[in-house]
This record gives sequence, C-alpha cells and structure tokens, in this order.
Amino acid sequence: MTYLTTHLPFPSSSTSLPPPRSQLIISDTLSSPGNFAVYHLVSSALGKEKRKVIWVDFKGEGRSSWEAILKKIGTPLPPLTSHSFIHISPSSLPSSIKIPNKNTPSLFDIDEKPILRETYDYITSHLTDGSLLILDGLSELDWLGFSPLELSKFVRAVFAKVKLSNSILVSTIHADHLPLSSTIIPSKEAGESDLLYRLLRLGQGCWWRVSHLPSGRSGDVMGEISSHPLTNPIGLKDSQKSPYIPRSNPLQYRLEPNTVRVFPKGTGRGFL
Amino acid sequence: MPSFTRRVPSTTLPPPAGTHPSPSLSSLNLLPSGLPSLDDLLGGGIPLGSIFLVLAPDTQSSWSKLVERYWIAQGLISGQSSLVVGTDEELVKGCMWTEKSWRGGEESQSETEHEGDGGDEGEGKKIAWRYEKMGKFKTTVGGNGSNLSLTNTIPHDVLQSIHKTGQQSYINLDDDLTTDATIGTSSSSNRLSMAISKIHGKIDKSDPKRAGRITIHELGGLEWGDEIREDQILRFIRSLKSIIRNKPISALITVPPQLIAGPTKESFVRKLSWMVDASVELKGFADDPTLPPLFPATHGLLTLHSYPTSHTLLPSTLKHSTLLGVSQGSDGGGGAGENNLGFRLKRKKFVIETVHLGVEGGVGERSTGPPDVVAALSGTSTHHTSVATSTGEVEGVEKGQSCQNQNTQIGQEESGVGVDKPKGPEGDTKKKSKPRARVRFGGEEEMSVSVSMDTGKDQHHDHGHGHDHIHDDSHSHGNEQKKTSQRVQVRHDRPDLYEF
Repeated sequence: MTYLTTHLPFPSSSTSLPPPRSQLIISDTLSSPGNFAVYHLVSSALGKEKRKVIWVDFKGEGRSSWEAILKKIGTPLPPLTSHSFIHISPSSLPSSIKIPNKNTPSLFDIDEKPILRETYDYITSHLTDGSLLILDGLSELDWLGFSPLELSKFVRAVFAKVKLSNSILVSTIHADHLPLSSTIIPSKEAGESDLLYRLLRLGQGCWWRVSHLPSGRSGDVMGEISSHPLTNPIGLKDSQKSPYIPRSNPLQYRLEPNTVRVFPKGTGRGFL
Repeated sequence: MPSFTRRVPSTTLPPPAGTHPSPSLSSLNLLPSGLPSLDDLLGGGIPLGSIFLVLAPDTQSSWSKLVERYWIAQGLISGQSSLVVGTDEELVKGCMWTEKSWRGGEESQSETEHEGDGGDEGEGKKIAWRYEKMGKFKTTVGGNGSNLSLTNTIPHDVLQSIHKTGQQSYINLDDDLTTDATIGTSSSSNRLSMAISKIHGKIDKSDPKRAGRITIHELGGLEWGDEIREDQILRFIRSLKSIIRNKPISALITVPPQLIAGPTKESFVRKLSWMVDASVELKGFADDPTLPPLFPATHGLLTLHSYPTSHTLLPSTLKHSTLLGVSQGSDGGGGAGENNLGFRLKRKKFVIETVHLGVEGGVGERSTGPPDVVAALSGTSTHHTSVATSTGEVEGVEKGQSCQNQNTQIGQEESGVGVDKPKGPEGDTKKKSKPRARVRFGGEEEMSVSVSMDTGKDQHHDHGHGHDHIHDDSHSHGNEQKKTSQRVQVRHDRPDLYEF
C-alpha cells in the first residue's frame, strides 16, 4: 500500500491495484507528469502483492531511473536476472544498427515502416498469470508515426491477452490537449484527442486524469488527480466500481523526495 | 573459508571529469551547461544520458547558438569530448573562453550590483518574499566554477589541440550523399538515419569513463534536407536518447525558428518538450518592437517547458531551483507561484534572471482587454493639438495641462500580469472610473478629443480644459497617442498608484 491507495482504492482484493482483467488509463500533462502514479502501482505490485511486472518502455526512460526511484520509495527493483520484473524497451533506431541487448524489439521494419508486431510478440512471450503489464508512453508512439487506429488495435490485442491471463493492463498517455475548465471549447487539433478517446472506448476499467493547476506551477500543490470509472470490467458487479473523483472536486498532490502527499482539494490536511 | 561472503556494493565509479553529483541524488551525475543560472533552473545541470533542447523562436537573433557555444566551451574546458552534428568548425571557433586572469575560482561570482550588503538587513525580521534567498538586489544566481567570459574567444592553440587529439569531432551531413541517392527513400529521412548511425558508431567507440557532449545544431534546418516531417524529428530524438541513455554523454539540440512557427507550433513544442529531458524557450524581443520598453533590463523572456524528472520522485528543479521560485521549504516561494524569467546579454556573460517591473511600473488598474499595439506604434497625436490650441486661452490652466499630459504616461507602463503576451501601453484598457465633474471657466470651449481606436469609453473623451486640479489616472484616453519615449513622472501625491 503506498501513497495513492487510501485516496484511489480499487474494488479488488488489494485495493492498490486495479482488479484483474481490467485496464487503467493514466493521462498527464507536460506541467504535471504522471510518473508518480505508475511508481505507486509498481511499488504495490512488487511489494505487497508480489506480482510480476512487465514494463514496456515506449518513452525510452531507461531502467536506472526506475531503480533509483523505487529504491527511494522502499520497493527496490529486483536484480536484472530476476523474472519478476521485465523491462522491454522498444527501439526506434534504424534497422542498420544492431542492438545487442535482449528485450529490445524494433519499432520500425526494414523498410522504415512503423510496426508493432515484434513488440506484441515480446509482450505475449513474457505475460504470465496475474502480471501487471504497463504500456508506458502510447502518445510517444503516436508521435513517432503510428496511427491512432493502429495503436488502438494493438492495445485491444494486448488487452485480450491480458484478460486471458488474469492480468492487469495499465496504459499511460499524454493529454495536454484536454482543457482544464469545462467552459473552454477545445480546438480541433487533428489526431491528438483521437488516441485517448479510442482507449477510453475500450472501457472495462478506470481513467486517472493527472493535470496541472490552471494557475501555474506552485511549490505547495503540483497538480490534481481525478478518477473516472469506465464500463465495468467483466466479472465485476455493478456495485464494485472504482471511486469517481470528479474534476470539480479533485485530489491534489505534492511530490516529496520519498513520497507523494495526496489530499482532497481544499483540505491541505496539515501538509500545507 | 568464510561462512559468509560480504556483499560487494555496486561499483560506484568516481564521477567523470567535469561533472558533479546532483543535489537530489548523489549517484546521478550532472553536466554543467556553462551558464550557472541555467544550471540552477535545471536543478543543478543536465544529467548524464539526457537531452536538452533549446528553442529560440525569434528569427532575428541567435540565442540558441550562444547557448550552444557555452555548452561546447564548458565541455572543452573540462576535458570532455565534444561532438558537433550539423555544422562545421565555425561554431566551435566562435566559442567563448575563460578570462585570462582566471586561476581556478578566484573570479568573482557574478556581476550583481549592490552585492554583499543585502544580507544584513533582513536579520531582525523574517521576510516572506520569494526573493529572500537571493539577496536584496540579486536577480540571478552566481557561478559554480564556470568562468566563461564573452570577452574572450577560444585561443588558437586550444583549437588546434582539440582537433588534433580528437577531443572535438564533427559529423557532417553532406557526406555520403551520392551513395545514398540510389536508395528510394526521401533524402531527409536518409540524413536523419545516417546521422543517427554515425552518432551511434562514434559513441560506441568512445571511452566509457569520459563524459562527452553532443551538440545537434539546427535539427530540421536546411542542412538536414527538405520536407522534414515532425515524426521524423521526434524519431531522431527518440533514437538519440536510446543511444546515450546508458552512457556518460548528454546532448544539446537546437531547432531553427521556422520549425516551431505556424499553427501547430504549440503542440509541436509540447511534443518536443515531452521527448527530451529538459526544454527551454528563449524568446528574444527582436521580433516585437513594443516589448523592449516594457522590460528595459531584459533582452528576452525565458520559458521552462520541461525539466529533468528522471531518477528522483521529486524533480531536482522543483526542489532546488532558486530562480524558478517554487522550491519547498521556508526559503522557497511559499505558494507564491513561479517567477517570471528572462535573459540578458551582459558585457561578459549571458545570464538568466527573474523579470521585474520597473520601480515606476505597475498599473493602478487591471487591463480588461488586449493592449492597443497599433495605436502605440502609430503614435497619433490628437491630444497634442488640443493642448496647443487651448494653452493660451485659459489662465492658470497651462501648468495643469502639461502635468496632465505627462501624467497620462503612467498608464503606459507594463501591466505585469504575465509574460506570455506583449503588453502594449495600457491606455484604453484601464477600467472606467466615474466621470469627473467638469469645472468650466467662462469663455473657453470644450474640446472634444476624438480618439480613433476608442470604442465605448466616450465619457472620458470630452474633457474641459478648465480643470484646475490635476487628475489622476482617469485621464486614460489619451494615452495611446503618446509616444513611448516620453519621460514618466512619479506622482508623489498618489503613492497608491505605485509599487515600491
């Protein structure tokens, strides 16, 4: 159980993690990156739950960053040889460059066309029962030249495998295009909103929206989180839904060196 | 034989030469950029294995080239390897160098005025203001050992030696073009892929203990081919990141202004800022002539789009940056919000500072609409003519008139609300105050001042010239006609108009 569990519990046995056969979409903005939410889930999975974690690193973040952060939180990453944490880092390098590391499927084929087949194969080869699979950085894929349709097909295919193995799917995406206030009509920028809507339509889970404060950066509050349940995962009763935390009354958070302080808006709870 | 073996701690290599550990995490090493104020904004420097992007959208200046030169010079001084992609020796030849009299740290920290005296004054009471940590008249942060001075250029003997030893190398994009012509792909993607392959080849062979810097000059510019697409650029950055991520090498990328112009500018800048680890935008004033008088001590405004967030839960910038002003704790902004930042090219150095309004600046009232820039530039002078004709007519009013004209300058100061839009002279955009009673003396005509740009503030336009007392800022209608070069007079009888 880590910093988000009490505020964003799930209707599952652990409450820290989404229920099996469901997906969680985490969106963030440039001024309020949502990495901390992913760290919370990984920490819960590796720590108490002892689930296998498969991290598909589309952003190219690198393992050493996670090693340092998870160690600070209190759940260090297992060693490289362990099978309980798999780091898949798809590569965008041209096919002429040979990459010696394993677990680096190529994102572009020999004709420099974007492909996801290799990545899909890698994921399914590592997916075991009860894992936590994280597709980290779907927006980056979108910007590299993959169409939203292709990406949604990929996510749907992966989700099908996740459901078969009773695993949990977490996807991260950037949502800077979403307006911060409901009074603003968003401009129609081609493609940006498409991917998010396609993922939301897949349903069967929950959407955590991390966004920044409209008033800009501040030392006390770094952003807001709202939680929006999607259609119910198959097998869950209607009464068992993730909590709905609306944008009008969100949770606010503040990053600290070892943890994240989360509090409902307007309370401060002694942190401020 | 011991029954247990002592667990060997993970080998901690000493930090490569020219790097220093991050204040947030000692195992993370940072590269100084050459500009101490920029390092402060980034939380101490650029982490090894990261990409730093510098955007300079104004077409008339070359601020990004200046930052590139600082970056390269700092690396050369520290003995690090340097690789420049996309241009030739000309960039390196123009690099600045250290002061000739520099002897490892003797150089004074920064050229702040009134330095040293500010520390004593705050002792008695705790001042809760965001600049407390920076000293009273200090607007920037001092040096941490880099003493590059703009008055010196890289010496010839140093240039020769760095090229001879291979410390400085280049990747030219024009090479191998003829051989690639047979492949059916477009030339631009060819050059990008070719550049990546070459960079990969060079980095693979580099010394793993020696820190290095890569400079990608004007990515997507003319040298890189025609019709470059956004996704190709982003793919290049992604590939570069994967090459340097696990190496003691960082990269600086600059982009030509044309690439970030146009209707998709905002979303492309955002995508770039996501893809790299840190991104700053230096917007000079060269494109917009109304801005320099509003920010007299600044040459441009700086926006920090993204900062390094890897390796720590709380990014080092948010924790430690003095300039940004959102650091937690008693010495931080305390919820005041981040500072407005700008940059200035001084005689010896280039600094990033917090941006202030002038002492006489600030407006007494909020602006309720966009500033009237066109009128400010055209400088129509209807008001002048009305003064000229009425001066001789009424006794005892002349003095009042001239004061009044000068006082209307007050409204032209910067609005100080934000720095993302240019704010022209306030003029009409002040909020309406009650219409004043007009005192008339016998025999004088009422002059109506017609202001062409003005819509809906009619009650201020007709004003009699018989006023004996000096009006305050309700005389806002004539402002936009004044030229900005007129001097501002401080109204000592109305201190509430100013912020000191």
